Amino acid sequence: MTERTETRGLFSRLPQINPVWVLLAALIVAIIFMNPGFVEPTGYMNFLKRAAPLAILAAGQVYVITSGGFDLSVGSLITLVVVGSSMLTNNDPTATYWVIPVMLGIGLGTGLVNGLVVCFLRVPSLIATLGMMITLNGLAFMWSGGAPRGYLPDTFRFFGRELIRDVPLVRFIPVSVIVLIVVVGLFAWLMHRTNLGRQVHAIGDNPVAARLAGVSVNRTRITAFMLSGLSGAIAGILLGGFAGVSTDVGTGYELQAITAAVLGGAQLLGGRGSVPAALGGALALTAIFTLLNFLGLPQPVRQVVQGLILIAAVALAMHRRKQTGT
Amino acid sequence: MKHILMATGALALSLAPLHAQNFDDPEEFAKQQEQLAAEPMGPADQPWLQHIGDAMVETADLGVEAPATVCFSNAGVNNPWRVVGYTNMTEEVANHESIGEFIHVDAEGSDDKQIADIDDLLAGGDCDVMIVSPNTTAALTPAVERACEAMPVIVFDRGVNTDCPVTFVHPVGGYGFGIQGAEFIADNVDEGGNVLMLRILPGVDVLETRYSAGRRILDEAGLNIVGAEFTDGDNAKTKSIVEDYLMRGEIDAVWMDAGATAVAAIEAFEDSGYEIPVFVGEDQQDFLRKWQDEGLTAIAPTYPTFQWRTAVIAAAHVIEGEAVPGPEWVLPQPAITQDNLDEYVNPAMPPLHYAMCGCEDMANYPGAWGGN
Amino acid sequence: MSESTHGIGGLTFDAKKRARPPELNVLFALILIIGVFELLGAFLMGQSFLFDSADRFDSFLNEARLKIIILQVSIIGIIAIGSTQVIISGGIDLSPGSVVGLTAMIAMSFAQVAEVNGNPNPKAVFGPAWMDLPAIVPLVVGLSVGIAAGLINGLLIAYTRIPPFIATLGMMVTARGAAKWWTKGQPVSFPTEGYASIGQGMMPVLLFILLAVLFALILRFTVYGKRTYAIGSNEDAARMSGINVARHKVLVYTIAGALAAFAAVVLSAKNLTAQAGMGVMYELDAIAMTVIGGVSLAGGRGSIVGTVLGALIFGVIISGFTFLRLDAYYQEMVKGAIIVGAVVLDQWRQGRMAAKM
Repeated sequence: MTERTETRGLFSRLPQINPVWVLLAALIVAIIFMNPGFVEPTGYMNFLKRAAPLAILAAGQVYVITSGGFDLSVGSLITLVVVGSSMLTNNDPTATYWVIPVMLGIGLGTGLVNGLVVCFLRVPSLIATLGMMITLNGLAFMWSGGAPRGYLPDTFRFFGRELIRDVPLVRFIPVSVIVLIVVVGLFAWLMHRTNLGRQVHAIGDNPVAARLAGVSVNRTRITAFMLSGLSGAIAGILLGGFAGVSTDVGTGYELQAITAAVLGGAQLLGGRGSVPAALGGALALTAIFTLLNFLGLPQPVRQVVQGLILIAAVALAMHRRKQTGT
Repeated sequence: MKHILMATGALALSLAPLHAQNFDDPEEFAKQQEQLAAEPMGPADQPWLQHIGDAMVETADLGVEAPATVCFSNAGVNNPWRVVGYTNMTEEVANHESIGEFIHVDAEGSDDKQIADIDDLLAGGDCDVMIVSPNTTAALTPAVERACEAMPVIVFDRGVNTDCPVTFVHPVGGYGFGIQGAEFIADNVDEGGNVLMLRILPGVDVLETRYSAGRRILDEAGLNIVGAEFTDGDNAKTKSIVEDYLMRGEIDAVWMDAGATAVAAIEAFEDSGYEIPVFVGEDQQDFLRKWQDEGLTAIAPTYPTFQWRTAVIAAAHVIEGEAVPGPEWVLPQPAITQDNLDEYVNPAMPPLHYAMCGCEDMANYPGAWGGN
Repeated sequence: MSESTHGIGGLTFDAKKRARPPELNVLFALILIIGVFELLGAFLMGQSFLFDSADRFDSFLNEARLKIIILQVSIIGIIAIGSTQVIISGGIDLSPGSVVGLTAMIAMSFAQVAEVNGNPNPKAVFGPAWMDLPAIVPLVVGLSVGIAAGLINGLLIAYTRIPPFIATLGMMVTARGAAKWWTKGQPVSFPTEGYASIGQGMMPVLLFILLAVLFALILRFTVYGKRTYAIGSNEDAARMSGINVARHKVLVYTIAGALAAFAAVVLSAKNLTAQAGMGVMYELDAIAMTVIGGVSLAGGRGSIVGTVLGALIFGVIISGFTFLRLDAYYQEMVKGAIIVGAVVLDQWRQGRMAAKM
């Protein structure tokens, strides 16, 4: 008798570990197997540095998804931030100090407009943010005339490119990894330790009930979009820093961010989502790309794998939900 | 259904390797190798007026009168190369009094839109001469043929499968580009050295020929190709790919089929604390500056943007009834080397500006190209 | 419906309160937009947009431009017919653009000629035994690809309860990858004359109109159509009333896949070539056409007539921008604004209808 209870207890406890962490662990073991150099600081720090923009983006996206929407505009926001920064700094290293706040402002502003359109014009977020995506792409193109005119100065690129050396234990830490920890930490705290997080969950779960319970649905929804916009701007600053100016940096990031959030168990159309799990999703997605790189698979195959993983992750989530009955 | 799927899959697997599409044509390779070495006709200080080979086409009987309206169906201005080229073009138009009006339609990189654009221009009835920069070869051929029936047509950059245009303006070509870069590596890296090949996309004719020519020469020189990777022209991806390769072993040279992401690749070496190896880039300012600042061993083959000027000049010749080089106007395809690097580096120009633009002597230089 | 007033439990039918069919509004919008282009054309360009203003035409209308407008939208229009019924059923399909790419590549591989100008086909995918096949072969192969993709979409959505957005997004990424993998990214060209004739001249327009009429009738008069509307209006109610919702959804997505594949065949025949990148963003254009045509993204409302009008608006706008020589990036942005604007209008209309009740 006792034995049976114990096994049942073990099994019922198992589903409580988010499967994204299991997936991530398995992928990392596979990467280490393929490339033992991964356990060196250069290996895993490069990995974290590469995952940082996507992880931050996913942390922002989780807010919108949990509140019951999508944000498709973040990819083109990244492009706008990179192109716009190169235009504004105009090779002047001291300009960084005001350009970065301006870019964060553009991110918040984009989110604000998205939120206003969704709340007050009652346009489904899919369409509203799609329109925003097209508009921002057009703006980036108009601003630069198709070819950005300035370099990004090293002061701007500091966040995405530089390393802090002579750190005990790990030898060095990329600045972007510190940004990652701070931003994701902050987003996680807001989501899981404050009233805002509870309200985001509430309006995603049942907006009518949330309104009756006294939640300001519009204000919460707009805040969610603004946080997503902010995360897009930060991701843009990191990507511009990592790799310099180009005109299509952000392409495809919106879908990757949604995939990462969903891999982390965020529920599409709202009500459930976790920032740490989205971080796990982003790391897992980056690990998959790294692994596919190491396997030397051609790019089309990588694309197919990404599509299949997305479907499989959501199917698994649906299956688990049906089993747990929630 | 499952059976059909499996059958399709099996078919694809068994037959896919069969399609040896011909991007590795030894004859074309030899021809372009010869053209690179040939002495072009025309003024040496104005390469956009030069041509390799002496065949000419008479245009006096085409019946166009000055001032004429020139219409330009553009595949797109969706990358910096095309932006620089298009600026060359609009500035060149101002040099010709015989061109009354210049109408530009942008197909945004879509075959369908470009076909409709050409038909739209024909329907409008305003054009006297048409310049076409085709988005893809096969798809645009019928539309260009329709245009040929109505007026003289000039094609440049990518070609079409018809000889109806007055002339087809283009530099030597993809094999030539591949040859220049790979020969430089073969000359500067010892036999058995490790070469990483970075490519943008599969399936694009000009890029495939660059790769096949480069690969042929590197193989013949006994170099070890550690990998050939597609970067999608994405800086972040390029940097990641190079970082991954550096974790696995040494790299003595990097060959690229297009230089847009060259600086990102160089930064991967810098940030990982490695010496920068022998590099093949392109004529973008950011790469040239890096080359000069860091004292690299490098070469920049070019696919010159001055061909956009040549297309307008050809149109002006047609209007004025002068003969033009044709049916192909083959332009020289110079490479930037250590010897002439200083002539092309210009810190006043934007990072993504292509130096081989032949635009330095034009009226609105450098402002119109975004320079200070 | 009878014109007489009749009441059931206090509800009375009032003819004055009957909403104008939304298609009529779309038609007005179309006329309005054409009017705007005519005015702008007269002021800015000194010529008429749709009417004959050049001497070399001897008819009243500028037939060439009319042809371009309809030809330009007919292929995406075929996709939009499929998207219309998907959206009416309350779903969304993001995969047709990629399915077009994949289908075009595969169908074209079975439509190649053995010899081009006396030389062996330089773009040959398969051996000589697979060349010079009758056009029906690539057509059937192509349609099977589309049906397979649509079927997978439908099965995923109906039976694993994955949201349509994600399932078709997965298919979008996967099919695009497969399209690139098929020939390692290289274009497939040189089709047989039989195959090419499917897309030449005004054939795409003819096929678009035929399919539009067919599906307008199907959606309006058949059980299939009524069930599609029922599921889109209220899925639970449809289930309660005995409709096999899951099976019907599979059918809806499969038909959408088949239509996307057919569009791919017409497109590749028209362009005489197939490329892995074909059809990028077509899904969004198709959705835009349906939304402009008054199909509600919430499901249950809309019609093929609306979508056809939406497609025409789309064509008029693109052609009008070219006519006015507007820069490409403005074109994209205005297109985005029109999509959002159409949805805002739809919401407003819905709100007003709710207020009337």
